[in-house]
Amino acid sequence: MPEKTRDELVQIDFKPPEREWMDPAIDFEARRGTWSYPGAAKNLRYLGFPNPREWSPTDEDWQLPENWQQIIHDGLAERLNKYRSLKLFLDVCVRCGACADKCHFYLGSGDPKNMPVLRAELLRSVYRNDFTAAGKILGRIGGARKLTPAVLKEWFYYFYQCTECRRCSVFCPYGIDTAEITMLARELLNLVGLNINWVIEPVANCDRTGNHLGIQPHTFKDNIEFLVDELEGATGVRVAPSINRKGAELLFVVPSADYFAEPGIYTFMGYLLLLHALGVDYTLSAYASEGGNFGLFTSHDTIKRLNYKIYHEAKRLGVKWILGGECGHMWRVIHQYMDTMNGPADFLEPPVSPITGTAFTNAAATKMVHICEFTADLIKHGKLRLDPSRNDHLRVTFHDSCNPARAMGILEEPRYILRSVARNFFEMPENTIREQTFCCGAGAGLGNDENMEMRLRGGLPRANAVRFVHEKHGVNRLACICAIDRATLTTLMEYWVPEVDVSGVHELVGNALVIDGEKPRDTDLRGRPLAGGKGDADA
Amino acid sequence: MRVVWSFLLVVLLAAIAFFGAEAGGQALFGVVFPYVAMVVFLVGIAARVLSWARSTVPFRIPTTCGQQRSLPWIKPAPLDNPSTGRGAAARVLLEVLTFRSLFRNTRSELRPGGRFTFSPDKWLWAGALAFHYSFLVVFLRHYRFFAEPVPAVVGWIEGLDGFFQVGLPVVYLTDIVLVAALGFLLWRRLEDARLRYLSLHADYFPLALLLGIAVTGVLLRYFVRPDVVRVKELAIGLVGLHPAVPQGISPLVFAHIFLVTVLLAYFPFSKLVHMAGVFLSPTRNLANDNRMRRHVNPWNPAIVGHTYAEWEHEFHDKLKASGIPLDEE
Amino acid sequence: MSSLLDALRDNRGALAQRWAELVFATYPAQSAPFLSREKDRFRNPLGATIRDEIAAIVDVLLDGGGAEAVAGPLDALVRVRAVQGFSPAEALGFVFQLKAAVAELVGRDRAVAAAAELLELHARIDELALQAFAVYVGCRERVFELRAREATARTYSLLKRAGALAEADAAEGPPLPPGEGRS
Repeated sequence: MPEKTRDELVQIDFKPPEREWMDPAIDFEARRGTWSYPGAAKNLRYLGFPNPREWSPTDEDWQLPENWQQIIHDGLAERLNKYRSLKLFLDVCVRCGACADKCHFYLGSGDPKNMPVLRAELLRSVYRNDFTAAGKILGRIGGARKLTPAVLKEWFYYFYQCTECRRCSVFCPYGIDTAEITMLARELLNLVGLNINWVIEPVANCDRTGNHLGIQPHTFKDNIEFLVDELEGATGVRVAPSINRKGAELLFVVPSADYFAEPGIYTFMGYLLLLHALGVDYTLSAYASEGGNFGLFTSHDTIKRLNYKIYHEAKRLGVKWILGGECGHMWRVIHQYMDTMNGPADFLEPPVSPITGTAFTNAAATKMVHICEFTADLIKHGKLRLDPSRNDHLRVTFHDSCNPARAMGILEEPRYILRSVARNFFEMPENTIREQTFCCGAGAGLGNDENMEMRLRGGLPRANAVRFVHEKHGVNRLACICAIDRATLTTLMEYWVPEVDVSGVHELVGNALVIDGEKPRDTDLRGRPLAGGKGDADA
Repeated sequence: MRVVWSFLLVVLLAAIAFFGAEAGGQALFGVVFPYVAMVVFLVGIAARVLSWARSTVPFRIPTTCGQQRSLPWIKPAPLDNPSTGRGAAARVLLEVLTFRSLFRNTRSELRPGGRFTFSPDKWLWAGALAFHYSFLVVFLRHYRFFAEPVPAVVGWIEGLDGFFQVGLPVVYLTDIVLVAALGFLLWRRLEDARLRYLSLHADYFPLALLLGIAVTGVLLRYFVRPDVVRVKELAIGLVGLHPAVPQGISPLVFAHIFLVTVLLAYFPFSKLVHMAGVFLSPTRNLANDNRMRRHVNPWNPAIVGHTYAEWEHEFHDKLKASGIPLDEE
Repeated sequence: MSSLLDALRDNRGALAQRWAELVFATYPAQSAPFLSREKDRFRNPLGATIRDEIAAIVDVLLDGGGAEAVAGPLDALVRVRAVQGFSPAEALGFVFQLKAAVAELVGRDRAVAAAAELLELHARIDELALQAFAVYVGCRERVFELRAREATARTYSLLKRAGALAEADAAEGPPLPPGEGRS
């Protein structure tokens, strides 16, 4: 090969060839860093999922079942009847482009197939071909295309490049929700054994042991005790959470990252301090020890299968109602799916705060309350002794996590809490928060190492807004109510805005909470010195 | 170029009707095709809506665009995050009448001095709204042809529409807006490289067809000026199911009618079904009362997860060793 | 007689714009116009970064600022390019596109006339390229570090309990244990 001159080198390849979007050709080898490793055969086997095998997207032959086209066609036909959302969203899009610049992956990469409309069109074109008169008659002119291996590979690439954040759905005049399209497309991909290990392994682990990491119950218990020790070290307060205790008033379910992962553990310490300070009668469960539900990134059946444990355990333990920790996709499942899938929860009581007596009427049927709803109510009723100056070393902004914002609408509760426990609170620009919040770029099972570059690209819009408040207000703490955020925003910040740390809201509650018997606090829960060498101010 | 094909097709369709009518096919273009198209339209739309209705809505999946109703002292957003059926209906209605979601587009700007401003980015919203409303008004104005006596409300609309009293015959504002809005929507699709990339024939053809209808309509009203009495005779015959084709109607009228005919017949098979679909969108028309009320999935599969008993059985010894309470010893 | 640099200084806006356009052209053709035209910093963070940082680099270069002055904007720009799936040559090629932008702006003849000055400018751009190279390598190393660090963070409490993080504790970095800072 002749040596290229420097000028040639920089000229070359810059302008991608003008290709019709309908002719896909994904070079997986060249795009390392933007896709996730496939599901390991052992996990598929454990779950009883189709087509377990060892394969790689870089392989020419993906070892699909012989009749894979038929399987997908039938699977799509079935889902068109089951989900009005799917049928309608495939029919009514007018390709107006309102969603085009709303996807964080598009904004960070410029790849036109990351525009939500085109992501959906990848499936829509096949739907036209197989199910609509116009598509059948007109073929390509009618926007229809056959499901070829290349098209399937493209599905795998782009439907595992959507974080199901629903931001595009906010701006669509028909409410077309790419998350719904992606969820159902992933169901179809699962039918022929196309999934990613970062989703399938947590699913398998969660089903078997009760948490994403596959930690067994005795280790779970040791770990909780370890965190209790650490917490005592930081505060001088010994909390005593119980595990699998029958007759407790509340079952408390949190995402497992809150007791395994940094920085989630500090949020977990915040929960424990809060519940201890109030003397709430609660228990954790080693069986239903995962609030998260990667079924949401697999299939509706898998959501139900994993979510089953929460009500099952609540019933067994005989609790009155369920309290849930800070987690994004967990709350999408609990808010929008749990009762319908595994209810009715008629063995539980309508939730009432044992401290304030407030009835959480908004959770009357599902009987599970978000801890931010619980805490906001406590603060409003003056039930917490708080010393917000203990968060003076932090200048805080709040990242609305996608699911709590756009599938639930829990916007004010965490803000109310933050304003009560910290004195320096600053909002990011308004088209980057609340229902318009930007995704961390790593939800829906994409928060894995091998997909790092895509995550950093997709996280650019969020990081960019954080950088703005960092530069303008000196913000150094990004609070959020999502376990995936706590893990992946930390990485995102380390790359884009290293001066900013990430934490849950209840970590800051834990910092500010004044508890009987605590030692003079000169550090926060992370062991970092408080502002101005200040000790225990008002207690 | 997809857009060129679409326009050529529309010109061809208009030409077929024009020369077809001139060659004695008035009955075909004036009666047979319109009836066929009307049937196709009605049956097609009904079938489409029924097919949507037949698909179930297993889960409540509203996209929440505001504060939920939770604690009594936190102000909820009843329209963007409705917790009642009435709120959801209002949300859909506002979506249909004002294109609220498109209205959300904002553009922020960093002004000198670090000040931040948000200005609306409403071009798409304005263009879409202008097109849909002017089309509606033009549509309603055509009732003049189908009813005798002309309903008073049609007269009011005409009065308002021709408010500026420009030209003779009076120029209707909506005629100008309709053509301009369609032109804008087309220009936008061509000018924006992203939209050009993703636009299909099915995006250009309706625009071309609507422009064809609008342009032939404008030609008829302001330039060709056919014998309105006879046109009305044709129209009333059609709606009264006593079709008769009066002689001496300009062939351009048939071109105009034929393009409308094509639009009707094309409608149920195209993206234009969004007109009906928007009412059924599960992310918009459901109340966010998920945790308040129980919702039932009609085909809820009988899936049982890994039960506690199975779990305890598997980890029995470890549970016991670590002192976690057991159901069975 | 105005020098080459003076001419460029008089047209610094145009130079920055032309350079930015060349960089935008390295993105997919369908997106380049959006990146270039959408001015909203939050709706178009990628485009805004490229535009702003390129303008800042041009300013430093023309006003004779040193490596330190250009470090900030160069870092911000390379940081983005380093994770966008470009080959290393593509990711850093944008530096040399400045030469093309200069040539276009002042015209070939004029550039030849001011050969000495042009040589000097090119030398500065080459230095910039080397500096960008260092940033790029740093960014790529960072990406790999982050991968490793995440694996640790995910099982942090388990590792800590097992005493496996003793060394990580001693070093600086995110796995900052709660006990640290306590005496």
